[in-house]
Amino acid sequence: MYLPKPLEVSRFGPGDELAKLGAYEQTIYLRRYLEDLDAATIVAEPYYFDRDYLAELAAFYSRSARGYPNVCRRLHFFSESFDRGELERAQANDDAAMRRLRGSYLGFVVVRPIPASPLGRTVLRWYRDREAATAPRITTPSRDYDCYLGGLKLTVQGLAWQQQDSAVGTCATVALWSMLHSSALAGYHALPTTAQVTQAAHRTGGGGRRVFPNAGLDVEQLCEAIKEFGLSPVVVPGDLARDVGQAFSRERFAASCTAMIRSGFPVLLLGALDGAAHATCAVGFRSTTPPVAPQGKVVHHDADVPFIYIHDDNLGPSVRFAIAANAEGMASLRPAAPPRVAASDTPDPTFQYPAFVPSHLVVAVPEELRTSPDALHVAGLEIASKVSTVFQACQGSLPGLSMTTRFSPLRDYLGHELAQVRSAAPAVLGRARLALLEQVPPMSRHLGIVRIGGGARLLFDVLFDTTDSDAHLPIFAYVVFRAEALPVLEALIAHGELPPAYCVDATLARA
Amino acid sequence: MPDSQLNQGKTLWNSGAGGPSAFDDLELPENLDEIVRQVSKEARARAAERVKPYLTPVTAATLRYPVR
Repeated sequence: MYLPKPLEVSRFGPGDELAKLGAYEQTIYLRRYLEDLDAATIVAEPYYFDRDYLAELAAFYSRSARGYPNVCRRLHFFSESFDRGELERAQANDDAAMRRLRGSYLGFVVVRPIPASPLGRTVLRWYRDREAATAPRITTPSRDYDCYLGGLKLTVQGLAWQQQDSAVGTCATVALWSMLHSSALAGYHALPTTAQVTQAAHRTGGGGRRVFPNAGLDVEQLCEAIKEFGLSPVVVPGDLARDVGQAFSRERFAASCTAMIRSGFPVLLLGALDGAAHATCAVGFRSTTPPVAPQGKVVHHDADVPFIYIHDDNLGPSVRFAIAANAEGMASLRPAAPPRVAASDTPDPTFQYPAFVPSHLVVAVPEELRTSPDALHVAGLEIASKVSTVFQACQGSLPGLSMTTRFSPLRDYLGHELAQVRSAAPAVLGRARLALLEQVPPMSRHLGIVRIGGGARLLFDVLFDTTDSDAHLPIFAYVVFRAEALPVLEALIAHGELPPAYCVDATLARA
Repeated sequence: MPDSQLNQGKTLWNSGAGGPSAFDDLELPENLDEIVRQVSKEARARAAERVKPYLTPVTAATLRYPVR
């Protein structure tokens, strides 16, 4: 029986609870990350029964001669400095103390009693977005995690990460486990443990390989595991051939990842790291300002996104990677740590980490979402190219157009997405919402959205049905925000150059 | 709803920020129908060329993604 122990309140810094875990890439990365979040205090729960670890114990460690215990520790991090007295006041419902702890909460790390890989479920707050006004960081897959420290409810927004234990799960298992935590999949499945992920991957596949200790999963197993949880896998292969396998052009890699991340779906990145196969989970990206396309061209709005944020079990959560193209035009990813906030000399564990060359993307989506990102890109680029050609014929000096794609629940599009565009014109917003409800055939739960703009101006959205096949991708409606675009779309539809659909007038011309 | 999801469709297009645009001064000609008729072949050709990177057939991968 475990003996009762008190909560431990200590200063964040050298010799703290994190340091006791040992100095390796992941713990050093977490220390730098927390330093830049201004971490000041750690509260350690000496006993924490973690659902994921208990499943790992039942599946594997319970039969080990080593005699692994069944209980973890949990470390909570705060940016405020406080002592045990403040914690006691918060437990006594002191408003000021509760506000202070909640307001400065940075997240938690579950510490497993596995010496070689102690970092279990870890959720840390995103660090401050210093470019929110000009090029916001897009982190749609993140969600709120509530945890309870005694009677105190603490909430952190992020996406769970953990270190692979190389027994119950390897990089592919933990990457898929992170993906299944996504906000966009909430309500579609119960969150599986890492043991359940690995077991699901072997239920219908595995080629005779043993389940535990696990030696890795292939693409087919990842897809089968996704199906086992009642979801559907989307596989996007690279478009460029390599000596061995495939790779992505920079645009297609960025376009495919951003389309899914904007939609709330994390992306499994499968590829080569220093000659070996590796899997990670992309959870966010840094957007760019709307590009100005050269005359006669259509550019992808997100083709030049500079950074993608990745949960890499070799390093840690939300690692910033720069997207580059090598001499052959193949997309490659290399860690690029953001500017430091803290004045510390903690080394950067991502320094000299090898370049990762993605070959396949795998994404879990709800079953009713049947449209692939490639099909949406093809449909969107066709429309944008035709509209751009007409604009240029009308006025030769005009720049080209830019385009972005994503999937969105219908309720979100009608709700906050339309409001983001037309919040300053409530009458237009109301008219557009009612037109979409009353003039357009019944729409699917998820929409495929192609958004097209010219320079800094948003011109129109195209709303696609996502419940049909890629070979037949019906359009529900065009939602037009600029008056100049409306007659061009209507003329192209009249001449059979664009699929017919209702044009919703969301322009300010009739405000 | 978490703040992260409010950024879902956010681009600077939404706010109208980003300064003046060449599209602000666009005046469409009266013979728009005629222009569409004239450029439709070219428009289709441009579209076909632009979508090529996204037409890669899906292939199965055989690599495993093991311990790193």
